[in-house]
Amino acid sequence: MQNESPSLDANRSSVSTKIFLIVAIFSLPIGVLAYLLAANYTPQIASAQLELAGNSLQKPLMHVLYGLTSSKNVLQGCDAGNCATELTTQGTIVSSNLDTAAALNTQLAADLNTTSDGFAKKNHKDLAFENLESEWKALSVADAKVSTPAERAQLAEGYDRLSNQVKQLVSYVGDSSSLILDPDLDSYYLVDVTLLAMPEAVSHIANTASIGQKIASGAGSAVDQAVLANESSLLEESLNRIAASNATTFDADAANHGVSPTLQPNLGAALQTYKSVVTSYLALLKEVAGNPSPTNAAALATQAASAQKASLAYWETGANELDALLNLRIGDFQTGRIQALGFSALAVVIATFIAFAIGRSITRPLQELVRNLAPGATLLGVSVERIAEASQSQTPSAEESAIICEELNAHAENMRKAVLELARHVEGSAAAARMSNVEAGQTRS
Amino acid sequence: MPSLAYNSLLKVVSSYVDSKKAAEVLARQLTACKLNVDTIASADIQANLLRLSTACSLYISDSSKRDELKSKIAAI
Repeated sequence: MQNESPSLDANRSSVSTKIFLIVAIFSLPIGVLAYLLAANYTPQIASAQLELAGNSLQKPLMHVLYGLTSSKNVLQGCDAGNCATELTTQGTIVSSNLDTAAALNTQLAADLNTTSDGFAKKNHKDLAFENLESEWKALSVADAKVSTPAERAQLAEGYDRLSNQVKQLVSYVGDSSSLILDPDLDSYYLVDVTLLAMPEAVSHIANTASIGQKIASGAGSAVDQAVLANESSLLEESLNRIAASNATTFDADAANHGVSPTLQPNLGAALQTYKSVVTSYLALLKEVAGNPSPTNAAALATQAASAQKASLAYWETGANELDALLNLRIGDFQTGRIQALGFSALAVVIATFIAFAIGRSITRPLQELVRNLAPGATLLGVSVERIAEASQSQTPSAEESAIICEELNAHAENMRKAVLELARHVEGSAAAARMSNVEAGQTRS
Repeated sequence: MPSLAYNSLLKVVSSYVDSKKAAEVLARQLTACKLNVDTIASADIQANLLRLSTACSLYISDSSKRDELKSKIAAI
């Protein structure tokens, strides 16, 4: 029964099997570590992919915001009936981008928590795409009928309300897609621009344009002047913040998953354009505040439209460059994951080969020893048998005795060599040499 | 190059004893008989039959097989 115990079974395993088991046991932690390392990359890749999804939904939403704020500016800058064409143009931009966003949302809603249920759970039922679409439909119907100043004011309020909802949705998507928690410095500051600073800047441009028009037409009060000064300051501050965030993005780019080749050329140029247009616009706002006139009103409308367009162009460039940074990060993580798995597999393969070679160097002398010693038992048995037969028959053959002695001697010599070889493998060359010297001394004595 | 007789002898002995051991025993016995593997002939084998068969049969535990080996060597 004892022979069946696991410990004895393990003792019965061949040396090769035991070496293989040792390699397998040591490979196990390498495998586990490789798995953990690779598994660590997976959520980081998933998080970057979620950010990409969020950024893709932001794009049509920003166009909607641009269309709505532009519509409001058009509405406030026109007399009854003379702005229908421009309103229709802006309305088309809003409609088509709202449709695009809603279609995109059907694919991304589960990941971004932008389903009707998702919005309801977060107490943002008003941000659901169905709600935005129905509100927009109501505004579209209304802008065709606008004729009186009161109706225009009511419609402008509607545009404002929807703009705020779109801005909230942009912020909501930024949260649910983890864009707001972006872990890299370069993309973090780019997200700060695209997700936070630019939607605010678009609003500031729209607000300054609206109040500026009122002041330029001579209808502005002291409160309007104060509001214009305040909004202008906010727009200027936003411009400085955007420039600072961009500078940080450029500085941190190289240290975060490598340099994005398009980041500096594209975003740098877009920022310059945006900066120059907004700076001119801010200068014009100051002039309007100091010298209200119909000429300034016309120039303001043109400059405000240019500033809106430049802000959208800059935002689009930023969003595209954010995509590039996120793709660069995903690629870097995927490469890291492949390298972690590949190098671990390579380490296991190399370790296995080395263990195999070491195993061979251990088993070979043992096999040689077995080969040398195995016939010894038969030799000794038969030799004893022959000697016994010879002693009984009283006719010992001198030649047969000599042959038996020769073979026994030869076998003894083989055993000695095999034992020395084994000693060399077990205890090293020095121990084998010592053993050999002791044997030589014994032979001499 | 080993002679035909040696190859036959080695083949016969190897069928009873491990081939490496057979070659080792035969080499030792041929040296004792002042013969070598290249020139050994059937006549030499017959002349040293006792020595060769005795030495090789020391590595065979079954006595009937020892006798069988002796007769096979004798037949070479």
